Amino acid sequence: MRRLISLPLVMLAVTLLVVGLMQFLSPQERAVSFVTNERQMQNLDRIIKERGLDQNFLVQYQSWLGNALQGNLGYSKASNRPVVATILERFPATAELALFACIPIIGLGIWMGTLTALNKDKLLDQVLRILTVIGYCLPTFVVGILLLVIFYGALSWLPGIGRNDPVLMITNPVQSVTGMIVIDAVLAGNWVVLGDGLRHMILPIITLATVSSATMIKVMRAELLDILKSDYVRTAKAKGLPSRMVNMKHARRNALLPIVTLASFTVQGLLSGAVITETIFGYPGIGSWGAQAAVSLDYPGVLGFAILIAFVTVLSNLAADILYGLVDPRVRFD
Amino acid sequence: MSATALTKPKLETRESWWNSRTARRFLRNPVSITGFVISSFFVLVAIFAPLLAEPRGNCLRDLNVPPNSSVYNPLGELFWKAIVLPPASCFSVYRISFSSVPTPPGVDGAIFGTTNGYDIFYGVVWGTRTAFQLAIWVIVPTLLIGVFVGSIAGYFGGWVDNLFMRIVDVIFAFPGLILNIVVVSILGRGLDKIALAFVLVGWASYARVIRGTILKVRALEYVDAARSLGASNTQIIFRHVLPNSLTTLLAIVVLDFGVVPLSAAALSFLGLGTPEGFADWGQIISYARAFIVGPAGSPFGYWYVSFFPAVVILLFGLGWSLLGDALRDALDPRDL
Repeated sequence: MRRLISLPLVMLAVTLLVVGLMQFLSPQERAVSFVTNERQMQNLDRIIKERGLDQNFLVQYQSWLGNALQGNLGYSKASNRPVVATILERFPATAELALFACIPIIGLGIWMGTLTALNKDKLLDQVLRILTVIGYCLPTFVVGILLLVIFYGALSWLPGIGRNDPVLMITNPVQSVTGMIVIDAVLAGNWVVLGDGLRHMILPIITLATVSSATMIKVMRAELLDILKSDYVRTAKAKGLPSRMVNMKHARRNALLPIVTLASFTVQGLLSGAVITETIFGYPGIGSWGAQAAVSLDYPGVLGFAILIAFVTVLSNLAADILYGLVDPRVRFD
Repeated sequence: MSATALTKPKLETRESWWNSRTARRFLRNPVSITGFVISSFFVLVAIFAPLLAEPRGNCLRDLNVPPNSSVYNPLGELFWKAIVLPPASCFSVYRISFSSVPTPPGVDGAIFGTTNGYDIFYGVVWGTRTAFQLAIWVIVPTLLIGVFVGSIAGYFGGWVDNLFMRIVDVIFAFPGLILNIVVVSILGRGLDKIALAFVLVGWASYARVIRGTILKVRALEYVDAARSLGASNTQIIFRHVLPNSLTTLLAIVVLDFGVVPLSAAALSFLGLGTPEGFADWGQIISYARAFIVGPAGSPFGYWYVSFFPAVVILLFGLGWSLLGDALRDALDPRDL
């Protein structure tokens, strides 16, 4: 309950922080983002006056907050659209990518984690441990580049850029309902577009999933090893249950708890990863827009991007806490 | 209690640190040795960068190298100058050509080839220096601020704690990289700006760790004992509480030595890093994006553009991560 009350406060503080950070840009620099043609560059002072960019911080924050609450976050030059429209248009693409990335992260995490824990100190465990350590410290941008060089550049097995084939989108148009290509294609029953969308997602998903799945395997292994030492596992074995049953039913079920704990970390990892992955693969999501906005000093864009990301992070932390309480009845909320 | 018990007990001779259980545990582990070897390798590369990748162009000029003398004279003054205080121009990667088409390894004396005209080998070797420089610039202030804020918050509790931890909460509402991107986009390009951004974001996690350990240690009896003997707050914090959280810190610092340069490289990769031509891994590998597809007829033709920087970055990350993990395991007092 306390978390629910503090949520809006944290969000308010987040906006205060980001808007405050933007004050380090001079009024002129901020005024540039309102310029739409060359002639207006001469009138920067007028823009500053009109928008109140040189007023004291609290006044500016108040007017920003007023606009934001009415759903007006300004105009992003990086995407040539209003910030809110950009977010609505691009968020589904990122969400789709992140959701699909969760499949290998959770799947591999549970499967490989169990495998290494049950084969502790055997060859399989050693090999998998080395692989997870390597996977864990692979930087996203290196993985992405290498995958592109191998599977797109050299072998041309998979497409490298974008989230769909532009020609295909003209010959085989699919009505956008959710903004997620896969779901839209399934709704329209258009299997060609579905296949194309999935093929475009393979490399970005591998890039995104590498680090997070390595973390997941590591934690799963540690947790399962802990549980295998516990009394109730010994009791279950002592009463003669087959070890497979003990391992899978008694031990693994309880070892799944960290997956929930890690959920918020994973979301954070996916969000940071999305910025780099989407930039490498030219994937039109939130991340590539944010990176572009930051590079081109599109300050309404950076602001909207940062606040959106913080919002998603805070909400996912809350969701993970609630989920944990549901999964583990020992946890109580005060 | 007899009178003899009150006389000062003879102190046990301290066991030498290389014989301690921690050191033995560390040295017996092949993983930690691997990590140690790789990270020391990078330290050596960073130190001896002028020896490995010979200074050329503006860098030689700024070193005042007369045409006939060589930087390679190990006893010469210039050699030490190049190692200890190289002029800023040495951090600009030597540009062999202005053609954006890469040249393969071995041509024009570029061992690893060129990318966007820049000598990859030079960029990678001096990039190691950049990496360490950044790591030190970031980690030292982060550590100081984190320890200061964390110990004050943890030790005094109450509203001080509440205030600082709410600030930490706000910083933690962002994935680290995202907040770094925001701050760097505002501060502008340059190594110092990146370092500042990392400090502004990074102190929060240190503060949180320190606060946690201090809360744990503060409740222990020996702290009460120290207080009842009249020790002041500062004395208790610095002599009794902080040293007990140092081991946790050491492992985090070592891990950060690997993480910070790579996060900075990620920023550079996005175009938010060092100025064009700076010896910086992220930038070197970002040029590779234009040469994903090889020249006509040989799809793997430009492999060196991405391969060499990638291998260096991977090894660096791997080395420090292995070392940090091994240190954390070795220092963990729970399974002595």
